[in-house]
Amino acid sequence: MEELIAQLKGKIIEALNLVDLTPEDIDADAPLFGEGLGLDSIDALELILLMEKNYGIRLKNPAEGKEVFKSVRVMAEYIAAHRTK
Amino acid sequence: MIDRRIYVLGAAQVSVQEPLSSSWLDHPVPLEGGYLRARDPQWRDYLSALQLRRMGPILRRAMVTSQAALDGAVPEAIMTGTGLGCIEHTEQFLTDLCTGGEEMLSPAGFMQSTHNTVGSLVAIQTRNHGYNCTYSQGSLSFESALLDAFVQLRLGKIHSALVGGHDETTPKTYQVVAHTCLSEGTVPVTEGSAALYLSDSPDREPLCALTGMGIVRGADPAEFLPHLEKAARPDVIFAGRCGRRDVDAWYNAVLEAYPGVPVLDYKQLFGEFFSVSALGIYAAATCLSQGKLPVAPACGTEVAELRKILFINHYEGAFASYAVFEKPCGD
Repeated sequence: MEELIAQLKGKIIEALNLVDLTPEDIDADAPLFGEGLGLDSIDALELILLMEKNYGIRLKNPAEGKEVFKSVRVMAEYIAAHRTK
Repeated sequence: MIDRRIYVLGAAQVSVQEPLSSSWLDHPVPLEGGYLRARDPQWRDYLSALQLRRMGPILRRAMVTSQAALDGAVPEAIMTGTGLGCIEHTEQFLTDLCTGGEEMLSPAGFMQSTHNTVGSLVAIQTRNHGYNCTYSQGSLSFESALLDAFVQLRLGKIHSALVGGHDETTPKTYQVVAHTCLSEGTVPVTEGSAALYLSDSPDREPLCALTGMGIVRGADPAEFLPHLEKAARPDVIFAGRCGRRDVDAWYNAVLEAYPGVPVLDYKQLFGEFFSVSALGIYAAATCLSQGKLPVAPACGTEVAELRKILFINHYEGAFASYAVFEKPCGD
């Protein structure tokens, strides 16, 4: 799981162009939206894309995203359970 | 049309010269090579990390030049001229479209791959809800935007306007477009942004006054010259000669009507790109404000008193433009 979390942090930085951050700067348990990284709705779309591109997961229900994108750790757990690639 | 006086209250540039500075007047950066990217300021000094991560070069430059020209003012209208708009994001979006099989496209790339992203973002940042129009007319993009502002200000429909000319030239753009649409002259293909804040009231000390302008259909110098009556006896002419014989021939034919008048080839300072005329007009306003012309190689001619500048430009042999700028004193 820790390996997947580290990989996911790198992909998030790349996809969202978080040029100021390194994977070490991201707290795996901190909220992604609002506080923490302070992401917004466009970032949510980018994260949905990231999940589909890299792990073959298609989030069809927007309400599901609210739960899945709580933190990097929650995202990683969801990916581990649902990935198709 | 009501003969309202129109003032340039602010002007700023990011180009191949030192950014957000008029140091090009005394210490111009020499342009070498066939293709040069702009010299960007330290973005962190002007934009937050959140803004920076979504903006490509053209948006960053448009934002900082607009902020610098406005200096806290909120314009009534925003007119933008751009040849290719956010071409970097467009390239990224099209590449994703091709490689991703038209699926899984980045929303940020999609949103920012349009020509009017620049004007829209400037409006959001300046909290402007008024008139907003983007012109994409090749090398007359900026003058088209300026003419819109000029006419609306003259008619009293608006009282202030932010007019910008912005283009980014990526390496791919240079390869594809530069050799077809832009001049293969002796000046390099470059990129840049310039913004001017215009008003019908000299609320703050104006740089200069815009006393006349127009876009003329047809490229025959003999048909163009009668439009320049208002520009009688300019102290200097800013021309877009670029070192390509067929392009320069048009300018030389027009300049024959002004024997002895010094000519500043502004592309020697700022290079060549679709909206480089915005830099030429920014330079004219700055020169009038500071009462001097740049040193060689751009001009190097002493002018006893700099009071009036005639700016001329033409595009693809089909359209030509002119603008007259004067020192605002005596109003």
